[in-house]
Amino acid sequence: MKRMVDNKKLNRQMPAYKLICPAMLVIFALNIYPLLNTFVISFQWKNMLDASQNGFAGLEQYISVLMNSEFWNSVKVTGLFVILSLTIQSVFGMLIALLLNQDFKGRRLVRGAILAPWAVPTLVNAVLWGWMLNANYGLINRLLLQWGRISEPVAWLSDGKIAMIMIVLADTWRMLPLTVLMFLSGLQSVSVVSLEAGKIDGANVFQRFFNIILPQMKPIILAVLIMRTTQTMKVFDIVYMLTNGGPANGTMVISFYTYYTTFKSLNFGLGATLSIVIAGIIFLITLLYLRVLREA
Amino acid sequence: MKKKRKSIKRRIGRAGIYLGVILLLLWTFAPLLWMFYSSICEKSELLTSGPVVWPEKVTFYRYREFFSSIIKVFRGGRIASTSEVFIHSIFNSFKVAAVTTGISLLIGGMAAYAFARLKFRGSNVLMILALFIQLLPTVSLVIPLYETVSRLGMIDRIITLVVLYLGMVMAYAIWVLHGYFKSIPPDLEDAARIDGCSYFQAFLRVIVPLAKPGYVAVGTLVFLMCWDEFLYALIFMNSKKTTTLTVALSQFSTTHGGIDYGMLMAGGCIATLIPMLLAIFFQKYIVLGLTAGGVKD
Repeated sequence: MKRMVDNKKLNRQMPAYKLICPAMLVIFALNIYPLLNTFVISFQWKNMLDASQNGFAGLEQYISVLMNSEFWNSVKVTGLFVILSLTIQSVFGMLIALLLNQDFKGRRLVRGAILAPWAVPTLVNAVLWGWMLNANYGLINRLLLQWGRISEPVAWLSDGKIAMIMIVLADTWRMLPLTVLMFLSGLQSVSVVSLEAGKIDGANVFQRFFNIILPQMKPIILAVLIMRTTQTMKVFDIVYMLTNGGPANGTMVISFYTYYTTFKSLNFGLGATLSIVIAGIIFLITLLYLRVLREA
Repeated sequence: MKKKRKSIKRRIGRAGIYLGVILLLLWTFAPLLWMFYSSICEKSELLTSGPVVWPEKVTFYRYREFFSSIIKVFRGGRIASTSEVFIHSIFNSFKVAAVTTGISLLIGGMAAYAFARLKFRGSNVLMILALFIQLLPTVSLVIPLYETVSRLGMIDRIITLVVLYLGMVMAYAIWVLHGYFKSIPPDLEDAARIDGCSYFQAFLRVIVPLAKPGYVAVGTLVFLMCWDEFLYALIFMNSKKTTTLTVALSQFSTTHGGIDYGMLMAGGCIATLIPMLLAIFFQKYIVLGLTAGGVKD
């Protein structure tokens, strides 16, 4: 009798395993295995330029990463990028979503049209902004000169702090539509009845926004924040193209720092250690978010 | 009196909305227009710091050059000039993105169906794993992948990129399709099962047609992810024959060393064309795919 039950269970399991097999093969071969392998390499000295030292390193590379001021600089720079991008994009994303939620002629067309920047490939976006910010011939300097806002061209990408803002600007131009569209879909689920009730009770625009709309949009706001945090933490293409981490490491974000350590300094061991540290940070932030999400 | 004040207030509100919309459209389209403008005006008007004016003479010689490269690339000649490399790289990107999209929809769809419908041991753990994998940056996987690929002698082979991209998109495809399958009532395929269909037939005949929007959404986004990818292509493809469009653009320069911004912008316009068309035609699905998956760019 028991065997029969087992057989039945097996029958329900067999097609499932068959169906997931190819996809799981891909995931294990190309995600899990490399991740575990990176973890193993992170405990080894593995310098492609100087193989004489290669061997077991234990925790020493982790210690040297944590003692390294360049690493902490890249953490700081990445944090700054994440916070600036997230703040600007959620505030403006919300404002634009509220605007496009109003009734006006051509609303559907405008809603569709604003997605255009998102369709521009990240690298094209970086190249385009690099050209617009070009000190001699760039659009921005030319317009500012034309309008008499500046008297001589500004080198936008040769100061660490300004370069950081420019990278945030380029990222915002491309990714803002995404935030807007997600907020818009959230706004559409806000109950009209509660808004009308608020109006009748004499709540003004701000009160209605903060007390009625915002609480109901909490899930979508959290979803956007999680998505954008994990995306911005991985930022690479724009930095590679626009600043190469410079000037003076002002835009040396952590993924670019890892890439540089691995493929320019050819220190695979240290690169692996950095990779594991990044994966760990992302993992912790995800857990944190999931906890917040569950409470909400 | 009160009514009049209200109507004035309302008019100001209207004007505010239209002003906001105009500013929004300016911010959205100015960079795109500048990209196109730079690709069609004469070099002398491009390399100046003078005021921005309507181009005196519109020229399409850059697009003509790309077009003649298409013919050359098709005839299978040697790929030498910047524009030939670029055109060839567009074909590469298209091939890689299309094949990856097809395979990921096929095997990702199968797995997603199993996760959505069938109870089996370990399914929860695997789903959480799929979520975590989407969050991993490619940088943290690239070292062992590089070692394996070079040991197999597969550096500089287009097929390598397809395999790597499958790894990049698979978890996302499963996650979103799984959510979509779950929204379809299971009674439908139960009925098909009672009529004598196997699991596989029920999946193919009942679920796949119903899940079409989900497939379109995931397909579009997966295609765009591959079209957009840079790091893998940069590290694994090193020759002019195998480079993809993102890498080709990043290495755009004239033979004289300087960057030809006009050509670069023309290339940018061409590289944006396909994603732009996809975004226009599949906008509804894109929003669906983004909100359902929620983590991938």
